Amino acid sequence: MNISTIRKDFMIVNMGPHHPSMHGVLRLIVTLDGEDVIDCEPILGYLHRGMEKIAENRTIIQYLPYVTRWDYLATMFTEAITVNGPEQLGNIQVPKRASYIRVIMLELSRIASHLLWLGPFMADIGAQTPFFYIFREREFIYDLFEAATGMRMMHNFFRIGGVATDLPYGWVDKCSDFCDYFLTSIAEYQKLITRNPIFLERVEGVGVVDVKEVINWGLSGPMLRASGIQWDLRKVDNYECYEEFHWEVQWQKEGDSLARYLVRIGEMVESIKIIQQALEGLPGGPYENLEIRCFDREKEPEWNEFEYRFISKKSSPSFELPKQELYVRIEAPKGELGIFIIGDQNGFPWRWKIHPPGFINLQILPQLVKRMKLADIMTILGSIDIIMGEVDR
Amino acid sequence: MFLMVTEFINYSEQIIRAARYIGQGLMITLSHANRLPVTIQYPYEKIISSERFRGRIHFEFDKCIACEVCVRVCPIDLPIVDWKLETDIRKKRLLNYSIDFGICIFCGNCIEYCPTNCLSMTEEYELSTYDRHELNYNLIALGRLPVSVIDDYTIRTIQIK
Repeated sequence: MNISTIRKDFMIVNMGPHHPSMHGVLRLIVTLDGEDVIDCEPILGYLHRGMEKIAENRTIIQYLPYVTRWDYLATMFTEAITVNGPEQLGNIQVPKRASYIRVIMLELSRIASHLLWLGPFMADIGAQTPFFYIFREREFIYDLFEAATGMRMMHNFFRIGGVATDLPYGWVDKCSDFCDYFLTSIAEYQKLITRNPIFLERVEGVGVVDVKEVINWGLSGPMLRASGIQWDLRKVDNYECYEEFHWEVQWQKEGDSLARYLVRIGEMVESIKIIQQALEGLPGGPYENLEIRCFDREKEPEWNEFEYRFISKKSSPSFELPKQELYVRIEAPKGELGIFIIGDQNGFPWRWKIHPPGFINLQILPQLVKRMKLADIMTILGSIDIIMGEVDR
Repeated sequence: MFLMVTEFINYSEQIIRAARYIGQGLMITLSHANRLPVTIQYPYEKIISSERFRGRIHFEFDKCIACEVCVRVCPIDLPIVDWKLETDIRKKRLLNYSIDFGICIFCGNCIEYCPTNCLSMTEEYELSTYDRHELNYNLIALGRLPVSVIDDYTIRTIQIK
C-alpha cells in the first residue's frame, strides 16, 4: 500500500482475479474514498507458467506450440517473434512468398486481436451489442486460419526460414472476400460506436497520457500512438516486407481512451489495406528457405546456381543457435513484442527473455486510475488492452 | 435571460444530435433482424472441417521405423515408442506405440516431421470420455479411422464457404 495513513472511511476493495472486466486474472486492490479511487495496486502472477524457463530446455520447433499461449488473441505475432529471433541470430533468409504469407497472417491476426479488444472494451463500458458482432467477424478470420494452418487459435504455422505449409487452394480468394466484407462491417462499427454520445461520455478525456509520460513509462503500440507519437515498428524496423506496401501509421494526439479506440479502429482498416496489397502481389516460389547455410563463405550463391545447395524439405528440428545474443522486436497489436535471446551453440536457447507489450503497458494503470471514479477503472484498463497470458507469461 | 436561452438552445441541439447518433446506431442493430445467423446448431449440425484440420492423430504401425523423431519434436516428448533392436536383421522392431490425447495439444509437429508419414491427423475432434485413461490411445486405437461427419446421416453437415 502506498498510503501510510489509512483513514477509517477509506474502503479497500479487491477487484478480481475473477472479474469479467479484468481480462483474465488481473487482481486490483483499490482504495476508495466513496466513488473516487485513491490508490490502486495491481497484483500479477495468477497466470504465470514460467514460459521463459520452459524455453530454456526446448528446441525452437518444440517451443513453437507454447508461444501461442503468451498472447492468445494475437497468436501469429508470438509465433513470428519466436522464429524471427533465431532467424536473425542464424542469419537465415526468408523467401519472398513466405514473407508475404507471414504478413497476411500477421495482419489478419492483428485484426482478430483488435476485434477482441473492441468487444470486451465496449462491454466493459456497458455496450453489449458490439461484443456479439465482433465475434462474427473474428470467426471468419479464424476460419481462414483453420483453412491455412489447421487450427483456429494455436496455429503452429511459422517456421524458421518460412512457414509450415503453403496456402491452400482458393485461400487467397477467400481472404480477399473477407477483406471486402470487413471494410463494410468496420464502417458499421464506426456508425454504431464512434459518435455514440453515451460512449463518448465514458471515454473522452478518461485516462489521458501525455507525450512525456508515454515515453517515460516506455509504453508502446496503440497506447503510444494515441498520445501523438508516430512510432510503428513496421515502419521503423522494416521487418518482413512491410516497406513494399502503402499504408499509414495511425495516430491521434489526445492520449485519452477515445484516441486509443480511434487508433485501433484505424489500424484495422490499415491492416486490411496491407492484406489486400499482399494478396495482390503474392509472389510464387518456395514457402520455406531451402538453401543450405554457409556461415564462413563470403559470397552468397545465386538461387538455383551450380554453387547453390539445397537442404532437406524442413529446417532441422534441432536448429542450433549460434553463440550470440540478440534483441528482436515486432509490432504486435498491443505494442512492441520483443525477445532477448542468448544462444549457446546448442539447440536450446540459453536465455529467452520476453518483452511483452501488455506487461509494460500495464505499469501505467495505477497512475491513470488515481483520482478517477471507480467506474473509470474498467474504461482505462480496457483501453490499455492487456492479455494476462502475456503479462504473467 | 439571453444566456439562459442560448444555453437552452445548445442543450436541445445536443440532445437532438445525441438522439440522431443513437438512432443511427440502433438502425445497425435493427438491420440484423433480417440477417441470417452465422452460428450452427452444434450437436445436430456440424461443420465439415478443413482438410488441414488437426484432429486426433492416426498412426500406421507398418510404416513406422521407430526413429523417434516424433518424440524429439514434441513439446513434451509425448509419444511413447517401444522398440527393440533386432540384431539379426539389424533393424529396430516396433513393439508398441501410444499417444495420450489427454495431454496432446495437437500441434502437429510429429506429423510434420515424421520421415515415413506414418502419422497423420484426422478430422475427429470429439474425444471426450468419462475416464481420462481412455484417452491414452495405443497403436490399435491410433490405427482406427474416424467416421466422417459426411457419412453420419443423423447430422446435417455445413460447409464453410
